[in-house]
Amino acid sequence: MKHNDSIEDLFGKLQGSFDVASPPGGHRERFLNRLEHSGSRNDSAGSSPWWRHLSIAASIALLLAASVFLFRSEPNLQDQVANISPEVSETSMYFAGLVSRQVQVLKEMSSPETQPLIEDTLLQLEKLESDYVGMEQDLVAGGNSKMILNAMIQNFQTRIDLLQEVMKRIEEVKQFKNETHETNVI
Amino acid sequence: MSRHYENTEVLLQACLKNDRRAQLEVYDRYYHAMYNTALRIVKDPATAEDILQDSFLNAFTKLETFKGEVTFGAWLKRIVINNSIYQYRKQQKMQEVPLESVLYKVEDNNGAEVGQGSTERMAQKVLETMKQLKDSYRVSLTLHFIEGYDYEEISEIMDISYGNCRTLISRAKKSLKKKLMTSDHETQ
Repeated sequence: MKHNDSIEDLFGKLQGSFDVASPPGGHRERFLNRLEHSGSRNDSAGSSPWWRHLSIAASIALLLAASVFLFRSEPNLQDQVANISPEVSETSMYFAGLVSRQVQVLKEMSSPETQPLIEDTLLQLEKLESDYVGMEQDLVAGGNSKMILNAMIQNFQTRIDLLQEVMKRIEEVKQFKNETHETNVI
Repeated sequence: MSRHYENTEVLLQACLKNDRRAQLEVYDRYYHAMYNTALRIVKDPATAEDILQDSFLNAFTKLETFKGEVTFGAWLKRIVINNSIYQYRKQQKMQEVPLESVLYKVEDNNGAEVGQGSTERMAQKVLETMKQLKDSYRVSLTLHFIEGYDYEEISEIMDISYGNCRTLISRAKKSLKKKLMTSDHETQ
């Protein structure tokens, strides 16, 4: 490019030779695929309107039935626990709040290095939670209430210990990374 | 020339009836130019392919609105450009600076030893140099000099005022010229 050449001349000279790139391989097949899909969607929408309405109605009915069932069964268990031991239900409310706050904090600390650790922790918490629900059912069914109540509190205690342990680990990972300036994946 | 027009007309009629073969024929005729248009704006090949195919699908669904005031190619190109600009704005908002772009820049400087050989190589070099400019410079230059839109159309496409558009293009021109000359010096 010389000093007296203008950009206009340059582009004028090169007019028509700028289409140098080609799409990635297989683009035609991908397009054909998308074309087929867009076409079939239109066809089915046009041809069968009556069963679509029916299926919408059916799914609404199903949803209603499911929600009625859920709303009936869930407060039942909690209420029954509260009837047996108001203190336990109060304590469990307190612990549940604590745990969910801690989980929130944990999720905010997520980073590529700590993600596997956090995911595993959430999985373990879920397991503990399902154990807890099992214990509630046992309690309602009339098992040895003293032992079960004890186990329920223990269950919450375990969850909180686990969360604190994980937080400590995450701090260590961060610390380690800052000190050594190296990537460190657990 | 008129035969070709008639041909396109017939082809588009078939597309209106959802004829798969005709639609694919339209794709085959125009994909190359449209892909390059999109690529010059968004830079990324995969994104450009997406835009290309979206645009064809858009064009087929709203083909009834094509009245033939401009050629079909120009009408289609405008859809491609609008979709590309939409995508380009999204990229700007995310402030995406992919690592590859930095890596490529280093390679580009080494590989820019393409002299003033054939027209194709010169065009390639101009395109590579344009990629190193600011995004808004690159987009305005490609719209003005390669796609051939005037200031008024560009200010509408890029959603800026007429005055800003003129300033933008004149700055972009200066910047491109400077870059082209320094890369010439390096190779000598």
